[in-house]
Amino acid sequence: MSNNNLTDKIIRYHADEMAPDEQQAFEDQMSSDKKLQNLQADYEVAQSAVDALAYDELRSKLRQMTEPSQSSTRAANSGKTRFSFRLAIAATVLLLLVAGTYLWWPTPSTPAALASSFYEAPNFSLERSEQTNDDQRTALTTAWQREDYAYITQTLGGSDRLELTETQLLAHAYYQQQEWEKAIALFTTLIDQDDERYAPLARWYRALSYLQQDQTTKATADLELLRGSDNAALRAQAEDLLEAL
Amino acid sequence: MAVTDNRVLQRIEKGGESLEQAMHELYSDEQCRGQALSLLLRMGAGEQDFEDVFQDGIAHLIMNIRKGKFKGESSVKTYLISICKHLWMNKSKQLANRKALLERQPPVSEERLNSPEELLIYQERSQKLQVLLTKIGDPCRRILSLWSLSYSMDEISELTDYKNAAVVRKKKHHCLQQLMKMVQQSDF
Repeated sequence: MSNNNLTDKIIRYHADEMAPDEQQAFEDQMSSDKKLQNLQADYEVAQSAVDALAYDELRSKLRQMTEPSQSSTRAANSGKTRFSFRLAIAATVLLLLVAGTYLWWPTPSTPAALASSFYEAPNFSLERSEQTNDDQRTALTTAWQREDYAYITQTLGGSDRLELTETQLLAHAYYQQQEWEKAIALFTTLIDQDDERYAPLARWYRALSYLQQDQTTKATADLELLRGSDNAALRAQAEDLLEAL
Repeated sequence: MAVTDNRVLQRIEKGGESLEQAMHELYSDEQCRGQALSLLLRMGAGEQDFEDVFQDGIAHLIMNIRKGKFKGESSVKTYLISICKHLWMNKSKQLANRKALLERQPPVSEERLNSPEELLIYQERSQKLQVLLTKIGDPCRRILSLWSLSYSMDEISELTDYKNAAVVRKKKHHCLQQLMKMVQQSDF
């Protein structure tokens, strides 16, 4: 059985998504299958990462509570605040009722909002090139980590002899700066190079750039092509996005 | 165990919106806050330190309850105050060590002031784990954190830009697969 199938099984097992007999068979297999035991150990590391995320979520929600609890003045004026709050709610409800006559409710997600929710910034490791020396590569990587996109576009933007990783970095810097046309042009360059390491990902990000510009037809064409990709993760993402569209 | 404890425990175990209610109840419990504040001030904490420690304490308490580490041997509030006490002891030890380092004095102690619940596991992360969490991307981080706190797929869909529960479910599964793949490719 492939690693992917076993990973799926482990995820389903821990999410209680297995029927009792399948669960029993899985536990039996776990007691003797070394590969599965290793995957289980990996799952535990992944789980500790998820715990850390949950902890961050709790801390973020607690930080949002700080303001009302720390203010004693607010406590003293709570009656007044409650009245204002109710008044505000009543006004909002009235406004929604009036607006509801004219507007669809709820508002569907826009293509741009969907693109933003699917965009995941990659990590970059720049390769040696004629264009940049070691110091410049370090500076570019640091700029990306610090979200200093202007530095990247200023450093690489004027050159027509970029390596593929540099082209990719520049394209993402333009994406982050919402310069969609420039991002699309560079992602297209990467697609045209037809290098398996870059082209499929570039197609995915070009689809997101198209969506940022409300060009759903072009985005859909790229996503449909990605449905046939060898990269399972990319294929799944493309399907998710197509479904959401 | 007091009745209110049962309610808080049930809400925390249920997760999602119920968990948020319990968290709010604990956070705004003036009696509990007052007792914890008075204890930590006696132990040398400032008021801003207290606010940080109290919030950390509630987050740890919730994680420990959800992980089954709270055995009900004391009330939830006593347990929370005890967590805050240990968190402050750890934090003040770190501050003292940092000060000692700056003044080139020997550190206070190499021994860790952990409670039996290993309080720092959620806060302190290895660099490798930190890299994993960065690589996985914002949408996955958000979905997995909410899912881990038992928000329903419908609730997550409302809190994010995903169209419906089905899309969230697929995305969650995909994010977990991605995370597992990253773990397999790293050398944990």
